[in-house]
Amino acid sequence: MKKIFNIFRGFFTAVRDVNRKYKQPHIRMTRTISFALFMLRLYLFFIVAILLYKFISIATGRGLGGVP
Amino acid sequence: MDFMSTAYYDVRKIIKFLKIFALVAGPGIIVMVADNDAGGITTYAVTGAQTGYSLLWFMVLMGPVAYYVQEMTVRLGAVTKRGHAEAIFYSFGSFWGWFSLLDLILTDWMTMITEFIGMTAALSIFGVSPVVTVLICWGIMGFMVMQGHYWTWEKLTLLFCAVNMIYIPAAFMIHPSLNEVFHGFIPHLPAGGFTGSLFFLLMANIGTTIAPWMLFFQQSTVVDKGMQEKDILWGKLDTLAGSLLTVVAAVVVIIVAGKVLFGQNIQSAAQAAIALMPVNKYVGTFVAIGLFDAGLLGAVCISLASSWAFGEVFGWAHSLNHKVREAKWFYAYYFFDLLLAGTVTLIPHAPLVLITLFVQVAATVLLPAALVFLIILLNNEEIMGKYKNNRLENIINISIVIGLIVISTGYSLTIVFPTLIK
Repeated sequence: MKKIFNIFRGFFTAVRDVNRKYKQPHIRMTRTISFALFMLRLYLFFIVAILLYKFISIATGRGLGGVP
Repeated sequence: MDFMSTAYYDVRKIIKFLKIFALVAGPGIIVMVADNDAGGITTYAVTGAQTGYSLLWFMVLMGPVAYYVQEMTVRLGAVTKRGHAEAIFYSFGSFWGWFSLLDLILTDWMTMITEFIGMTAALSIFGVSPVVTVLICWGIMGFMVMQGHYWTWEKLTLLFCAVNMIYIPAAFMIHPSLNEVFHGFIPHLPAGGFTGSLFFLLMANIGTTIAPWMLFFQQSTVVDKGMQEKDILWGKLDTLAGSLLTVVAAVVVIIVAGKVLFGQNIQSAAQAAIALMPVNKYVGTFVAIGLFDAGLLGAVCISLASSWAFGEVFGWAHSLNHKVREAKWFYAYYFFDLLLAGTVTLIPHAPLVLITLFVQVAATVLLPAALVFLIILLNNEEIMGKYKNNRLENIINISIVIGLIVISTGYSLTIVFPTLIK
């Protein structure tokens, strides 16, 4: 049990180390790059919202003639 | 005499060229041939059965698309010596890094399941039970990576890439009409014109051309192989050769299905192989072997793509040049992926169809991000130096990336909402 706990603790420490190591982006944020990343965020928000909508429709039994 | 000496030196030059190519080639050919995975072969078989030879020209167009996208990963890997996951973390920070890594892990794992579905379906044609198939696959995949040498893994994988060309003799054995095949390469629409189902088929074929794991895989392979900036030209040639092979494989599968199964309701490559057996048992057998091989190649490459990504980000030893005890977490994740995907395939009544559809949808979330990051990095002079994209490359690459994003999103939406194109 202690061994499993240690493995998890080690994993979370590793995640924290990764977060610390890559806290700041190393690429220079020009206007073009900021715009591209902003558009990417919008796109992902749109696609995830649609998928959530579909998921909720299936879960609540209001299928939209969708996933078999 | 002059002619003789010129010919001699020309032959020596060609031999030298081939020797260097044989040394450097690998990542490009492997990623491109593995791209024709179990899902890809199924898409081509369905395309042939539904449209005959009418979309052969369209498959030829997919070659340059795959080449231009994958070629960028060669340059990025050779210049930065970082895999794609590490490059994203380093350049864009931990938010985009975790987003890409976790999405990659999920998409790869789901795709692995589809590869196992393809492999078990292929060997079931020969009466092999799914349990035995999964055990065989685990054995082969374990053997391939545990040699402790990248070179050995690469050559073994290239051998499986050669087996993937088994569709070529199959196409010759069914004696297709050359006139009809040539006509298929002239751009035209199938009988019935542009319908919703044709649109779906076109999108499915584009969707199989570039998958997120391919970007991560080739860049990591380039780094693990130790390719330098001076090798970029060879890496490009390797990728070009791979894109030619992937188009050839796609075309011959469509020819086989278009000649023998045209008009039949084919839903999978395994079903195509079964339907081919009564017509020509060798062709049916070849298609089944090809499907198994495609699944195996796909599974090995996809699982390695995830393992490399994890290793790069967490700073674990992550090279195929390491023995298992030297890179235990790298190999542990590789086997964990294999075991999990294979086991899910064996669960009775597992929602495998839903998983297959989910793969396409999940890829739509990751692919645009990975492609956008790729374009941004390839335009950064501080990172790429003289190897950054030039104007022509930008025009081509950005057009391809926008096209891929629009089409893969459309494909994903039509999977989730099938009534959209009816």
